[in-house]
Amino acid sequence: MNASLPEALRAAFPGAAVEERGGFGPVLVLGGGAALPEACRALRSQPEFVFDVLEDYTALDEGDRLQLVLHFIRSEEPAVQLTVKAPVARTGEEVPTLSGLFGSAEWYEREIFDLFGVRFAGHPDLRRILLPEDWQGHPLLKDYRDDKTLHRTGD
Amino acid sequence: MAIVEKWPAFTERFPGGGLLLTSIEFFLNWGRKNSLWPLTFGLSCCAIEMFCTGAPRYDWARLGNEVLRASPRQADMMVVAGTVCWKMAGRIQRLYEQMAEPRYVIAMGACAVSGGPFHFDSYGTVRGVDQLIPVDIYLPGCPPKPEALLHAVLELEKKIAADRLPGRRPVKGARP
Repeated sequence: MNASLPEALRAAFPGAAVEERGGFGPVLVLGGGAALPEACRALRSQPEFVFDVLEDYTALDEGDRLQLVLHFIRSEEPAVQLTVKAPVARTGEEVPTLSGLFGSAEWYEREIFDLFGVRFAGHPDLRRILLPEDWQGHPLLKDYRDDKTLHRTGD
Repeated sequence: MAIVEKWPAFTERFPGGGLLLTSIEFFLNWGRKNSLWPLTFGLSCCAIEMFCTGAPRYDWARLGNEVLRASPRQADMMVVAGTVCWKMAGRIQRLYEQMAEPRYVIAMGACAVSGGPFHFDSYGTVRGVDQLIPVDIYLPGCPPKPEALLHAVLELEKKIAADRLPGRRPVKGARP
């Protein structure tokens, strides 16, 4: 399965790009955050994939947009890792939640909301999870500034 | 019997002082410094060294730090062992205010002293617990060894021993 996984991904997701990296499994790049629930449902249930463990769900600030990054593993042999990426707009875009599909996504999405400000539509309890409740802003955005932080670079 | 034999030795330490007042002060400090009650309270990796200091190999109960109390109402010494984040700041202040007076604070490790490696470019770290509560002893290290924490407790005991009742002049040459 390991060798044929990129081909199977290309066949199942014709609109998405598939990148291959040595050692870490392929990367499936979706068109946007709105495609996430459908793609994850297919990755979880289709017998040629069965990626049934959402290992990690985080985000990256790429300057002009945010990139949601999901890591999947399988709970059965062969042990294969899959990375799914989905770009979303920096502000204002609502992304459908995955918490109905993967229980672990609920707290991951709260963390992404807390640190990056991405709002997840349909999330049952979208509150801050790491920072104090009255915190202003989302500190892992590259343009985040506050009056408490000492910036060594001075910009 | 034993305390009566020791009595002249205690009084001789304060030549020229009022006997009664000097004795109360001395015995108060003597009792306080030999019976510290630390709070069961650790924030991160420094707490591992603190637990090690409390365990039999180093055994800070020898110094009078008898047992880590699980309630701030029963504790009068707080070792801030680890990184203080802004979410924890209010909790630390509340714990400190709930502790029995007189209360003492040891800032253990670089993070509790100044923010340590998170001093710059960190949105979440308080740069030194002395921004929140008064600190008696600053103990640097990342993390400090148990021997260093024992030294900090001994320094705190010296500081308590030099404590003065309200209105008394400080002892000449004593630590502040």
